[in-house]
Amino acid sequence: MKPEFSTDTDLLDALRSKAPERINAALKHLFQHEKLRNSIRKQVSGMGGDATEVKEMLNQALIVFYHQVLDQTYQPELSSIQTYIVRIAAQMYYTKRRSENRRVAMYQRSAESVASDTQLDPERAFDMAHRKALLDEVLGSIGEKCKKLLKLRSFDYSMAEIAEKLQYKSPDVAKMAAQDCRKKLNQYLAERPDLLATLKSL
Amino acid sequence: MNQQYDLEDMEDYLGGRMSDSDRAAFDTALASDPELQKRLEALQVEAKVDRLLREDLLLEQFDIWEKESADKTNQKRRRLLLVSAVIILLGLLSLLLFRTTQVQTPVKELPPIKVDSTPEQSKTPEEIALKPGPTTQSPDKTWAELAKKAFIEEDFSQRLMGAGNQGKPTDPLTQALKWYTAGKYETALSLLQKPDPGRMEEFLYLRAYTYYHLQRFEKAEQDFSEFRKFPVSDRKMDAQWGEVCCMLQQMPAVAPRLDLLLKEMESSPDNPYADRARALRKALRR
Repeated sequence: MKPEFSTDTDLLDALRSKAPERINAALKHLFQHEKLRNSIRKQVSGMGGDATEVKEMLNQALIVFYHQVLDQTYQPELSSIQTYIVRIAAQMYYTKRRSENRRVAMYQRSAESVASDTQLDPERAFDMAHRKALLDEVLGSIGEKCKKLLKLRSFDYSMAEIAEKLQYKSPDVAKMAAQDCRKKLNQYLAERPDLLATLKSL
Repeated sequence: MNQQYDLEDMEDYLGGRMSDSDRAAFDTALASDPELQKRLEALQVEAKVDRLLREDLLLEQFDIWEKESADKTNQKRRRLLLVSAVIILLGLLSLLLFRTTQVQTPVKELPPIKVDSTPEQSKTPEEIALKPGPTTQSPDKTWAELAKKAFIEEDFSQRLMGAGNQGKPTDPLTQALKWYTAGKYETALSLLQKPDPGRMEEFLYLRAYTYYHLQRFEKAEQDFSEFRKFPVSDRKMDAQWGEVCCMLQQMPAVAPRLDLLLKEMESSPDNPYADRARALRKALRR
């Protein structure tokens, strides 16, 4: 049986498809890719990272890569997907370690040379925990169901799919629920200039 | 008058989908309504909120996939453990079975030999009854017991038919016979090593019995066999039975030859040892 994603082109097509099932399949393929995982493990362990940090860097690198594909900032002609993701992971881990004031001099040059390849600002700490905390604060006021709905909506799930997953009576009911959730969020953020400022700076 | 603009209106404004007049009106409202400004700002960062939402959803998905992989690995490990355990168990059971089979298989013993009828011509008036040996004996000891019971001592007081005149008391054969009768078999043998060519039969016959008593069964068998080659003798059948006893003492190495000899004897109705041969052969086959 032919594998679903045998080339980088197949993967990119799936990630850009706006079809949640295909996007998920492509990301799962990358997530479970043994060579990719091993390469990241090698890079992160080489810089003193443990198993938890390896896992964290893999997750974050995949997320960053996915967003760069959506933003069309990833240039496939310059690097293969695997190499690119590994570089992202290495760069992110370096940034994390640098922010913890460890081994600055040793990795300064390598970090700068990598930055241009990955479109990742080395000066900016990529702190998933901070971003997670920010999201929790942003969505704190809108309720769990709205959180789930907006999450699915952000991933381009159709209203029919959202209705099925969240057990709305129909796609129209789900659409109305989505609008209500967005209004709530909009109102909440309008009342929180500090959060607005933080979100703007991302 | 300020219009109440909703999300769709603000999206149309940001997306450039408003008409010129509507846009102008919105701009006017925006300039005078701080709340509208904040709402518009909030809408403008919604894309960033969407990105955070996507990240969160992906992280949840990664956790699920990680768990799936771990479950698959654990399942594989469990399957491997199970297969290994089954193989080890089968191996142990086979070993146990093998050992049990080894212990339970008894040493083959010769069954008792029964003589059904008295031979027409018997060496001694009494019928020799062969009793079964003890069941716990090794086969060698059992064969030896059988041979002991089968052996019929020769009455050398009766001279061999066709033998020459009785020798002088000092001649080796007479001397040897005296020592043999006295149970001094080594001494008797020393006198029988250089047979008198004129009395070869007698020498061979006595020497065969002497060798037998000295437990030199191979030599005894040879002499019995050589004795039987003589054309005329009334002790040929006795010598043949002597050969059987010698072979019994050499079992199991000579089993095929012994069987052949017994078969020959039992098939000859004139042979006084036919019944004994038949019984012994049957017993040996068991």
